[in-house]
Amino acid sequence: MLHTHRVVFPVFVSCLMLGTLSQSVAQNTPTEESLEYSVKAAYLFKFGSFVEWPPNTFLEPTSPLMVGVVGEDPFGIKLEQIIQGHTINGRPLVIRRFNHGQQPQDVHILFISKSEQQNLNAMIAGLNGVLTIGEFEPSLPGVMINFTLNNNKVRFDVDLDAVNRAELKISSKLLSVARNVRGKVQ
Amino acid sequence: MISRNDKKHGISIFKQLLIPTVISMSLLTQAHGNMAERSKLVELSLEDLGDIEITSVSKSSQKLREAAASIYVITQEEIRRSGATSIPEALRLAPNLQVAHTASNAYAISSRGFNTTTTNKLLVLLDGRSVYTPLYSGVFWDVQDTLMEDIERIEVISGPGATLWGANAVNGVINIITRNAADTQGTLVTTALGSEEKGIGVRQGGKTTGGMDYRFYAKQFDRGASVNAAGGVLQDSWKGAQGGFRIDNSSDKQQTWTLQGDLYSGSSEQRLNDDRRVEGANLLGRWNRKLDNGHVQVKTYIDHTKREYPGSWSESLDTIDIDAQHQFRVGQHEILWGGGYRYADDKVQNGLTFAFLPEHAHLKNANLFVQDQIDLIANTLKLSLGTKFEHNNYSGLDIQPDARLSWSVNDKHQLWGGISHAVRAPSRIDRDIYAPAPPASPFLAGGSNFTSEVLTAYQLGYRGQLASRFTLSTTIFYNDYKKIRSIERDSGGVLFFANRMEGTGQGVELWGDLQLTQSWRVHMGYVYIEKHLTLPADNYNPAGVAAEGNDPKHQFSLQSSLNLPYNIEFDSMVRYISALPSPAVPSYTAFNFRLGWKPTPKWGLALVAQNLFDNQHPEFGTANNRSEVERSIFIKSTWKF
Repeated sequence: MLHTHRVVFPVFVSCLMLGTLSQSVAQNTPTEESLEYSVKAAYLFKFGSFVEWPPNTFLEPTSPLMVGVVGEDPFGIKLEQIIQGHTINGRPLVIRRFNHGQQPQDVHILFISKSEQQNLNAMIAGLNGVLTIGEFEPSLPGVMINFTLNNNKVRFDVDLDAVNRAELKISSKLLSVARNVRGKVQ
Repeated sequence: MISRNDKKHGISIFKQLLIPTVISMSLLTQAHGNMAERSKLVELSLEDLGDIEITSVSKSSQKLREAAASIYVITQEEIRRSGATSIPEALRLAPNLQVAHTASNAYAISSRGFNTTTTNKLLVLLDGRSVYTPLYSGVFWDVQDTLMEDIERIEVISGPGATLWGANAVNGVINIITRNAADTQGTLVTTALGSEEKGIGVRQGGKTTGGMDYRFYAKQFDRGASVNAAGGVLQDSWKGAQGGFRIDNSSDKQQTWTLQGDLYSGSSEQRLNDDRRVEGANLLGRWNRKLDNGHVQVKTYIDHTKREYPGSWSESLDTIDIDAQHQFRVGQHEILWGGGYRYADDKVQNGLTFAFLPEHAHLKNANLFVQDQIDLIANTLKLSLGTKFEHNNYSGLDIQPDARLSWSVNDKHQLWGGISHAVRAPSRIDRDIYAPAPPASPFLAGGSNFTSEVLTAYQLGYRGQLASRFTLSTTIFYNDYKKIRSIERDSGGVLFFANRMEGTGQGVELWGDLQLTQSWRVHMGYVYIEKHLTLPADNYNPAGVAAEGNDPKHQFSLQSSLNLPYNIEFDSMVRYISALPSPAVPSYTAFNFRLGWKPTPKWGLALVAQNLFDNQHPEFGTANNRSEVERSIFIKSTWKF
């Protein structure tokens, strides 16, 4: 039995070593940076596939899905880095940014920055069929999906009443992952 | 059997491999494809996104992935999708463990071999509470339980973990971690009903106005008896109830604490006497404080457990434990040091067949450890040096040093190697047993000079991402055991325990994870183990070296998790365990299936079939009347609101 080991062990390890050594060696960059907004950006993208917009929201099956960010943008380049080039149900994604105080238009998913807390109600009242996402502490009425940090992990709560008012449908799969769901399924 | 030459040869393989590795490591610098890593985030499921730790402040889980050790982490999602209703069944998910059902309420579980019904080289912790019994350094699996939905993860470390975890972490550590109460808010009700299994579990979680999270839970189960080879029912049916709570205060980010406790009782049938009864309670407090540079943790617990086997023996064990650790950084050094003290008061009521004497033992264990993790090249090459000093009543001071080197080739590939020295401290059975019990003169007695069993382990591992959807982890190990328990005969003809068995264990552990499509994940595992143990010619072990475990050479598993439309999940797992040598147990292949459906967000149903293609099969024990595992089919229902 040990004779086979004499061969198997070194060959096995040599293969592993060769595999790894042949990998290209790239530039050294720091990794200590927080992943928070990368994870939130990925969520923004993922949510799109679990939401059904009212009929006639899109002109064509390949019309783009517009993702907006309003107010001070916490994502920076990460939003583009993470979701650029991906599609949701065949729809390409387009990112739009709106300044502080500006009323967002022509978006399907909207990330509302903390900077917009003051005129939140007025802004939400002006939206139609838009999935609103925020990171308010505590959560605010009208924000459908609210990110929270829990044990160093990004989780989210869902306000179903706000979702229903906007005539959106959220899949039960998304609800089952939510930390808390407020309101009733319709 | 192994000769001295072969043993030396094993070490030289290690030298041949490790030394060139170290040299080549220092010649290369490393890479971090941060960007590439981030763009992968969109490929994760919603659940997986919610499991990502976003900062490196709490480094524990990140460390696990990077640790220079063979670690498999069983996640809550894996437990859920396996349909496992008990901790031992969930442990079958770890490719680096050997799990065998030995009776309806008993398991033999080990890592890297040496599996017996009283496996003694594995350390098991439940939220940091050590659950091994000082009677034989093993685990009574029938009383290690919690609500399965409340388990955050189970870390399974194969190989020694003695420096950080302590004695008994010789061949492995199982670290069961329950979820923070903030993650178990709301109400949960689960029921299971089936051929072998009936159970109900309830949990209520909430938040106080002061920002504390809490949960209470209660569960009750009833598991059917197993059968013998002829299909006759063995009287080992088993039922139990358990309740408990956990309070977490994380409102102050600088300082968090946890208080948790459990209360349980259970009983199992036995053939000739009244039911065996078990009961117990425990209370654990843990306090963490972030410092400007590092953190401090203090943990303490009390544990009471009682076991009554009418007609045979009973035991009552009370344990109190306190430990503390402090982590800080100086330049390239990350230092973790700490210590602990445990006092156990063990009272045994002896029967006729065997006795533990003295009946009442006071067991004390104190330890001190330090570990220095040195960044030889930042983010690339890490050297970890550590040692543990541990003192116990029986063998006095044991020193358990450990050295590991880890090389992150780039963000996709990591190589590591280590040399560790670990001990299995004597337990009461090694020193205090007399069989039969006095006044009859004993045939077998504990060894008054029985000392710690010793392992020197050499390991080499690789883990990495071989393709964008394929990760692989593999470890080879060579274990050199000394002073393993043997049986000798004194001049009066009495057999006693000594430390004269020795030998080697070696093998390969390999597992991989393949995300075939966004909704289909496949996981495979393979372990190869061989042991070469020797006893001196004048030994009296009736079972010879087989006394130290009955292990399969090959163990293979394949799991598939498929998400289908309409919130349907289909999971399957097949595992093959090769034959056990002595006593002979035939090889077996078991198929488990689970069909899950979530008709509403708050309600889930699952149909679980274990050992579907097999009426019954044995997993352990001697042929004449061993317990066999039957097919089990049950329906599980889960409400969350």
